[in-house]
Amino acid sequence: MVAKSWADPEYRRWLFEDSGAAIASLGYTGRQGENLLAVENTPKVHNLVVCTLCSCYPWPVLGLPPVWYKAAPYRSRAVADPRGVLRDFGVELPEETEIRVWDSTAELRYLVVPMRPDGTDGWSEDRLAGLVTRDAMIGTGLALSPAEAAA
Amino acid sequence: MNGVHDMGGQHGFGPVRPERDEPVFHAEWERRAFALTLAMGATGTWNLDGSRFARESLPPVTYLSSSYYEGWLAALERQLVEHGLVGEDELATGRPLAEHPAPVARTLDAADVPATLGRGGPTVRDARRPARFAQGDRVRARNIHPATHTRLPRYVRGHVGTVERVHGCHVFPDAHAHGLGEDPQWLYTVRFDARELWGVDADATSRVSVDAFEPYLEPAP
Repeated sequence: MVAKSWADPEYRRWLFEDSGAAIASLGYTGRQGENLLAVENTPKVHNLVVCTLCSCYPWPVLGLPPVWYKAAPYRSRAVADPRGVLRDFGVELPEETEIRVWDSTAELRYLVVPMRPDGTDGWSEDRLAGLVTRDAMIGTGLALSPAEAAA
Repeated sequence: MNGVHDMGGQHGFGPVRPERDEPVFHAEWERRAFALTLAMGATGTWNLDGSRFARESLPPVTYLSSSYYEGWLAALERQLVEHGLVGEDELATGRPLAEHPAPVARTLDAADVPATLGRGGPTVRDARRPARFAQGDRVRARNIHPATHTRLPRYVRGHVGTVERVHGCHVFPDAHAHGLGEDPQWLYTVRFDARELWGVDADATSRVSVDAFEPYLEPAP
């Protein structure tokens, strides 16, 4: 889904206009994915998804959530100290970047579309897909650089 | 309810500790607890909102000291007893003791699991009245403290935000969890500035949204 949005501008437009249909077209449907919403990272805005009240997570796309996502440290701090949480994941963003936190308090399930890494011009969708991580789609990570993916 | 499950903004839980190459389940019993919870949900004896309420109603010490699936299992046991499907004596002995097990409306066969999970549980319903708020409206999260199930976290109550998205009408968990029907309500993404929520020392560039049902909100100047 993310790699396709990087490689295919038409798909990207569709993904942010009608996330549910665009994601369903790739076969990702079902329980805990009934209302999917893709949110876009840009140079100005970094998105981060949490469920402070329980453990809401887009199962059909990302599988079951990792333990840290369901545990008190992440749920308590993601909304009040998102930069600190990102530092726990080794992610340091520029001070002027807006951190936009989405607390999944109803049945909408959010997916972050990370920024396309530099140095990937002309890469195929398949090759780009190798740069996309689960954490990047929660917002606690960034997409891998070509060097990181090769390591 | 104002329970310990409502964690947004609490201090003292320490750093997030990501686990490298984390398995989906850390033990076989976790897989079983997960499957049991979904299978019992599929009987229709209760709904997802009722299950969430059962989990947040666990004693606070139990909630905080249990692993995730320990909590699920403890809540499931509580629901089974409350609905008369399993006796305390049966939980204690780990064996069925009733001569005739209480019936359930439906059972989930292993062969039907993929289709059942694939169908999911859509919560969107037809609107019976127009939405009270529109994109861009200033709204205040009401200062309410229901002792029953609610999905309005404490950290936004009383605070003013902006309606960012309108999502149609959805099943209202506050009613649905307690057997009061679906009572569909308009659902909004409401965005708050971090400083509105956390004060002047908060990061000026952070913003936080919650998905809020219409009864949680009132107009703000």
